Amino acid sequence: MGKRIIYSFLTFLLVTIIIFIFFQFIPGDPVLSKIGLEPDPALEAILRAEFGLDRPLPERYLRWLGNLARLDMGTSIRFNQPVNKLIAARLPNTVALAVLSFILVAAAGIPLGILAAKLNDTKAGTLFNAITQIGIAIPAFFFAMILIIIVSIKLKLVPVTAYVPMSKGFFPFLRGMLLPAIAVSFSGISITVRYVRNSIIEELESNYVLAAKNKGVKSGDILYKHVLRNAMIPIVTILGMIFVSIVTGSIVIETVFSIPGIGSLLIAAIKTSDLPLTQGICVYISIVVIFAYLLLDIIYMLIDPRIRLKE
Amino acid sequence: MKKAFQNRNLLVGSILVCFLLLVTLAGIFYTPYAPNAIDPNALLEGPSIKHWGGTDKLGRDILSRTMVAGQSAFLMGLITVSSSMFTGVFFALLAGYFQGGLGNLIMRFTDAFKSIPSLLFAMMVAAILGRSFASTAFAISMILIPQFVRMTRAVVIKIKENEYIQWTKLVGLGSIRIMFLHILPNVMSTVIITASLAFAEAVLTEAALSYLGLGIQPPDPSWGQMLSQGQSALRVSPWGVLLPGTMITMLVLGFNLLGDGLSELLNARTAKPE
Repeated sequence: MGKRIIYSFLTFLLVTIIIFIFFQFIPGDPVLSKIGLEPDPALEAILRAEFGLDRPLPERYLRWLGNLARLDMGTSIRFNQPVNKLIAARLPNTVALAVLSFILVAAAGIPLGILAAKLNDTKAGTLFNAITQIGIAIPAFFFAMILIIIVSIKLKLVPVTAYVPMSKGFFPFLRGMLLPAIAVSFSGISITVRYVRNSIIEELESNYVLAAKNKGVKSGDILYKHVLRNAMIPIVTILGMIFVSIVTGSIVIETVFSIPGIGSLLIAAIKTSDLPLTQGICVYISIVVIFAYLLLDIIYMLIDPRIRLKE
Repeated sequence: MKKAFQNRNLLVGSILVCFLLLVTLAGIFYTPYAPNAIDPNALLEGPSIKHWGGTDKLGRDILSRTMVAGQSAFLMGLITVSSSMFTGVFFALLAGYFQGGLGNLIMRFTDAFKSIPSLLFAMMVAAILGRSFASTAFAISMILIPQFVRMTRAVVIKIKENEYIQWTKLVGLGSIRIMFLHILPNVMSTVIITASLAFAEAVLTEAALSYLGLGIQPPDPSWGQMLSQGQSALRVSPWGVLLPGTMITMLVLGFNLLGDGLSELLNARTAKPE
């Protein structure tokens, strides 16, 4: 496990290096753009020293990393506020959307996957298969628009811009988040259904199931008491993929439903060329993803002793 | 060949991709209306005999625009998949053949790069290089490289252990010759499968970027952009988003099925030599 943590830390360093170097390639010079049309060499040197731009690249990277460790990600140009404060203010909406989506993936994906395994080799199973294939292929924002057309415009169940801030009550907020969460989780649900289905079908062909059948154990008992437990272990491995699909999905879906979250903040930052804010959000999301992968690996090691023994 | 027709994924996938390719290619020579022609007398119309896909808020024909936007989608897929394929396979050959120092370095970078969510990376590129077809193509190519590296490297390592490769070493052939003349032909099936799945991802990423206004910029039409424009008039004309959205879904579905089908077909063949 120690090896895995070191490995995550290495990945983290590499990712920060990639992002740092990337943001050095910005066309235009931030100092020159600040002084204006008639550059005064003395003023230019002072400003360069103030921004630390006169130092060599590795030193600037280390300083940036040190600031990052103290949660100092610089100041947004557009909002003129610290980047970490801006992120913190938008975080609850994004986390709420992600958590709700994750719950939907688990609550719908696993039971539907079991159902799909039971329906294997039937016409309904084929239909199931087709729907999940479409679920993986359809862009989340297009699916969101279909949801808006059906649920909001035709059935008039929820208003089109349904976002309600949490300060106006938890349940109205939750109601507003439901449609976005369904849109975000659709592909995750589809991935989970396919994976659970294949995993169960594979387990059902193993020898212990055959032995149990021959002993006369009821097929329901075989499925729920033995197969399911073994089939669930590999599902942890796709959780990382689902997590990433939820994170990127919510970046786009926040824009569709005009939810003030980190995703819509990022897009506004890019469109207004607010580079400190863009860089801050990119680093922030990457760290969350690396940490999530590490956490999932640890969970996997804990529930599957075979992996632990290999180390 | 007979097996290829029995494989449902492969069959449906090829039909979808061929159909969309035909529609797109037809758009080069003929569209029902000029894709940018504005008609103030036909704003936000639903589907009709005159306009099969309806019209947008400027009265432009959605079917014509969808056909032309398909060219951007296919071109983007073609450019990004081929460039990432060449780069990715090259690094995979190196990483698989020289396991240890160089190989490890390549894999560390690949892994680190993979842990940045691909859409996020593409947005970063848009922030730095600006929003255009070229920067979108660059971003998507970069995103796709790790998949080619990982998938191909695994096969290279397996093939390297084969007797005939060991023989080429004994005979005294150089590493570069072994890699490109003897290992490369054997990884092609994996590369083709990966390319098909990568094409689907390229289309999906381009659509998302263009929808967010960070990808292909107007006046060049793209499906993502059409969806974004259609969304602003969703209440008046829900039809506007259906055609471009369905095209994205069908193209992604087609390449996913094609990839799955090829993988079933080709892997079955390598597993059981006939």
